[in-house]
Amino acid sequence: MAVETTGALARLGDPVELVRAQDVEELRPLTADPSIDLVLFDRLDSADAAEMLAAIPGDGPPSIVVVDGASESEALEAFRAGASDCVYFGPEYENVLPVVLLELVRRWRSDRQRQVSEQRIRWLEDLYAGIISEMPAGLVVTDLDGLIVTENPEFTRLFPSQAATGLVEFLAARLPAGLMDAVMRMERAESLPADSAQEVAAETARKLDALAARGIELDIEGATPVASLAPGLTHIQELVRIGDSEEDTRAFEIRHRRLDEQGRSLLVISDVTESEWLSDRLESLRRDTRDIIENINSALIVVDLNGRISFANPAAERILGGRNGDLGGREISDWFAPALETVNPIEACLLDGDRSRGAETLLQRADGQWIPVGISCSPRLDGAGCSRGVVAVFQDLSEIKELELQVRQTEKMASIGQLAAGVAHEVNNPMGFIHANLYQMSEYLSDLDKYFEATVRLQDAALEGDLEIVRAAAEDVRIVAREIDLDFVRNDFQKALMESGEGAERIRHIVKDLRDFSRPDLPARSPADVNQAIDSTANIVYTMMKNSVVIEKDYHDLPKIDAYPMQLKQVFMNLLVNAHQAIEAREESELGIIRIETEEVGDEIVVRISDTGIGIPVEVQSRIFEPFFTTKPVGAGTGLGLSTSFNIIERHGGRIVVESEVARGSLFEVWLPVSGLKDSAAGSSDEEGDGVASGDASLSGDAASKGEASPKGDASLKGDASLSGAR
Amino acid sequence: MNEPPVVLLVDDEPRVLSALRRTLRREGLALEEASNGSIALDRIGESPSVDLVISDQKMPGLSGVELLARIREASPSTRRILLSGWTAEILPGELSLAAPAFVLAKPWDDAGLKASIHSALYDDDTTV
Repeated sequence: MAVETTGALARLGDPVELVRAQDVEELRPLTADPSIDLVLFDRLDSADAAEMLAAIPGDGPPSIVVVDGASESEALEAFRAGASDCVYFGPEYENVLPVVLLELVRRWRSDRQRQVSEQRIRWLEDLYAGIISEMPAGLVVTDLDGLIVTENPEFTRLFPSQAATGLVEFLAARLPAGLMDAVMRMERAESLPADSAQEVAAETARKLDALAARGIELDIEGATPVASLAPGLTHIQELVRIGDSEEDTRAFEIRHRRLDEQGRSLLVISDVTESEWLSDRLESLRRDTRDIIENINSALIVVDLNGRISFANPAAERILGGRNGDLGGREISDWFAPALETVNPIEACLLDGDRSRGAETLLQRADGQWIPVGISCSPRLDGAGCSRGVVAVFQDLSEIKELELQVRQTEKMASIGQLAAGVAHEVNNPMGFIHANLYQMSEYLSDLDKYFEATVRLQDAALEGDLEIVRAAAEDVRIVAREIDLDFVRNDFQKALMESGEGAERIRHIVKDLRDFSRPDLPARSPADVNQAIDSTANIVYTMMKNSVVIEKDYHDLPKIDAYPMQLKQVFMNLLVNAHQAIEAREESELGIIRIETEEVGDEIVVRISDTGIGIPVEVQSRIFEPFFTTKPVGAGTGLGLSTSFNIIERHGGRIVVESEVARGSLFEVWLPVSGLKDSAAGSSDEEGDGVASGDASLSGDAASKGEASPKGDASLKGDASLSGAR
Repeated sequence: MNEPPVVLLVDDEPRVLSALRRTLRREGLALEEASNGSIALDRIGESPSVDLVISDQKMPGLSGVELLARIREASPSTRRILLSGWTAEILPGELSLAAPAFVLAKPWDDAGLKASIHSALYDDDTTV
């Protein structure tokens, strides 16, 4: 660039940044630089000047060529090559160049700005059009009279146009009446700029009239304007029936915005029936769940990983002694006193993830009261299977325990009846002959009195010494002796006395056996001599069965075990009575055999009671421990004997094993651990054992088998798996 | 002179038989004994015929009502009295088959026993 040019540029006043390019290679990258506002060619004398001009793109910065004033053709050449303008180098040059430069730069810049703005506007238009068309809400613009100005596809989908009236369509013709009513209320709330109620009313009336003129009647009597959410925007939710049936009721959410002073409004209408339905459903589910949890009779608590209660329903509060959620945060172990070694299934579930179902344990309330509960625990697992705590459901078993006790009492009473028969017979027999003998002995005594009187008379006569009188008296003595059969009486008196004494001794024995059997003087739970327990029981029941049964006994030395002896006797009695009934059911006259065997095997004691009765068919074996299962005629058994026995032995940590063959007999084995009772919660009632129980499950059938059974009937037919494990 | 009535006492308990014998010593009866049902049945088949059987209920083998029912069949003219320590367990059906003239409970009342025996032996309307 020549010195003159630089000088001319300096007159622009503003600082001008100059970038120089010597050839096409240097120019080309610069043409894409948006900060370049102008390209100035200082004469076209360079060889590639034309090529350089051509390198500037059409939308690139404008180019000015300084041409020689003497040659028109140079200017022509410059324009041909694509120059935006030419400036002659001459006397005016220094004044003209800056003006031209500034003007071209201004135009170029404004041009470029307009292009960018237009692009942006086009983009925004596209964006809005996209939003409006794809938006899952119906959009409609109406004018002051309710004519639809424009609408989006969703609006068309929601409220299809019945007749193709196009832009003159009224909103009221498309919207269901209820929705239109809502819109009118919103419009009234927004009636601008009317502030007075009068103006609002007038505006509404005008609109209604306009609609009426087109045959659209609306009743918005009593409709009240809703408050605006924001200036110019109101929001309402409306339930509208759009068809004939109840199911056609849909929920719409409407937003209304006044767009301009001409009264055009934008309505945004969304069908929220689904989400409404879902949230209703969710709410009702939540309510149902809460109702269930709050109203179930079972207590439900949620315990967190720290063993603290995070939720307790009212039933749980009743049992644990809390109210209105004040159990939250309390430690569950507060209710399990460690000193008593009661099982805490919740803790077990927290520590090991052990589920428990219906485990029986005791809870201690703040008032010190112990409550028997049946408790089920499950760990709460998160998605990854990690424990978040425990859910425990439990029931207060106090009432059930009470009922159980009553049932057991009933069972006891029933068996007392049975026992009474045997005992009464056994007592009444000796009573019969003692009674008869006593009467006879008093007869004998009065006979002997007569003899004694006769001998006294003889004695008196002898003392008087009159031989005749003595003889007569002696004769009298002989007559009396003959009359009363003196020899017999003397003999039989002694015999009757001896026999009566024997009878009395027998009654004494029976009473002693009975006392041994019931032992009211012993504490309920004590070291039990199992041999003594089975023997005294056998002695008692033998009295009622000796006409059909012989009992063989084979007792081995046993260690004493910690147990409830009365309960054990009840079990033995049940088994012996059943054995007896199985033998009676054979209907044979020869005596049956009940064999009792006791033995210590490992760390267990086994009592085997076998009979030669009719046996138990396989199909019945699985059920004999079920409560109320009986094969006896109505009234003969309560059906509780074996189930009671099962429960008692289970509480002692033992099991009952059955082996039976139809027509051959049955073997019941009672296995008891030598270590005795483990669970202090079991059999806590002291009086429950002080009676006797009858057996049941009388036995009949046709197959041989060996099996065991549980009260639930899920017997596994193998020899001696633990029954207690079945629970 | 009339032969005394033959009365068969059946009981598995000898002390009871002994006491009955004692009680009935002077009643003008020909007393015989059997310790169980089958011995009693054997005696029924022999002569002289038995006029009255007094049987216990609970005995090894045949029970009292079973025995009396069999006797009723074998010798309908033989009168029957059941003497039982516990009558509650006797089933009504069994009792009607045995059809005893009297059912007496142990311990028995001597006067009552004697009156029953007299009535069973001599009153026609007590027979079934």
